[in-house]
Amino acid sequence: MVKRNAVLALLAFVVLWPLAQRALVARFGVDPWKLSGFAMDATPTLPLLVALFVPEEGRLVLESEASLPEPVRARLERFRVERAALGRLREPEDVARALLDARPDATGVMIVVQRTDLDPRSARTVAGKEIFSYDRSMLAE
Amino acid sequence: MPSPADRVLALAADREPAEAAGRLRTLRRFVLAWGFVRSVMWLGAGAPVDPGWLGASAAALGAAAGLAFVPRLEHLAARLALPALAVQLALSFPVTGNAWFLELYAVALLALAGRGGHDAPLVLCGLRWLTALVLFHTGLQKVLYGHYFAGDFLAFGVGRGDRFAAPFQWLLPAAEVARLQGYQPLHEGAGPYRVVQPLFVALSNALWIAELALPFGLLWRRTRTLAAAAAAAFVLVLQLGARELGFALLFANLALLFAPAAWARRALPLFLALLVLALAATALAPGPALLEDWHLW
Repeated sequence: MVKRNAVLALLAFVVLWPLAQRALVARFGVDPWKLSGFAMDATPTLPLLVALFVPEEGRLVLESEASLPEPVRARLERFRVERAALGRLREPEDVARALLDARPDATGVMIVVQRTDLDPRSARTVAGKEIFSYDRSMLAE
Repeated sequence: MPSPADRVLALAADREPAEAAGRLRTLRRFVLAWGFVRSVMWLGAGAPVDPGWLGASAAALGAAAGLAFVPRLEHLAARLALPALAVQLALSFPVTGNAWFLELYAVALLALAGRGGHDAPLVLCGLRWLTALVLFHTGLQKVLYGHYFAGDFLAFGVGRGDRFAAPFQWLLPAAEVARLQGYQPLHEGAGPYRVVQPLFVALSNALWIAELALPFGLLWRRTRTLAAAAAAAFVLVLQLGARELGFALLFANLALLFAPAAWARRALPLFLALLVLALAATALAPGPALLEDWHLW
């Protein structure tokens, strides 16, 4: 009976979880190809674009990724991978902290994340941007 | 009197339950050998995870694959593999692929089979339902996302040069291919990724229709063999075309659970030979190229 229940529990999970994963995609922008939803090849996935800006003399200056110190670059790469998979469930606070640790002169950082999808009605790409602003005093709390 | 759940489970049963243990043996050997080979490929390609833990899990999966070929101990093989897969889930989450989850679910079910084929009919029913459900979900998800009705997903794939769409590219005139490839998909409003060629659109729709219909053919006894052959061929052609090695091989072996038992037994050496080739390729060309080419990470 225990084994029969285990089989039924696993099958119930396989029936229900992909529907829950679809809800996570809709609600949080989770990658449809990930988290065992079996939606691979159901919708295209495009690279996530992430840009870091630091305020300097009253304007925002784009940080060149190539010139970032290695710990910040590693955080950023990890964020990019995890954000693509987990969508809005993953926020970039650790990237901001790493950048501010590496740049003692910076008062804050703005991180822009752009995700591009294919719209099924128009068959054209649509981009959604999300902006995260952190200042040093906020992260120090 | 059987419960409704038992009656549903029994839809996937055989008239001759004595064959169940043999079917599980064949599948167990392939799935665990695949788990070992995949892990070695992850190691060889320098997958971005802790190599110590990955190496330990690969060794455990290798031992499990070995046990699967020892009839006296084969019932322990999947149980040995499960903790190794749990380690790999912890290492690879959240980028773990769907083929990996399919492997995990199959191994979890195989771990329930006892010594001497005890509970084999139950586990076989579970594995068959798993196969049918996963195939159905792949079709259902295509319907929910809505990119197949007008061929958008494949047109987008042609535009980006994706492997999944490459076989369908030949159905489009060169000018259409050039138009699709001329868009910059990361630019807002790029497109439309839509074509009017009826055969292209029909084939796009045939994909999700097949994925929704084949599970019923697999579960209905009268059509089981035909549907198993169709499902295995469908997935092998489509996924090997898309170079989704893991999903293609795993799913084809699962689909063969519905065919006469001799089919899977005879095909096993061929599938194992493919795994040996994959190992040889990893040894000859270590690095991420193989993993990326075959969507293994």
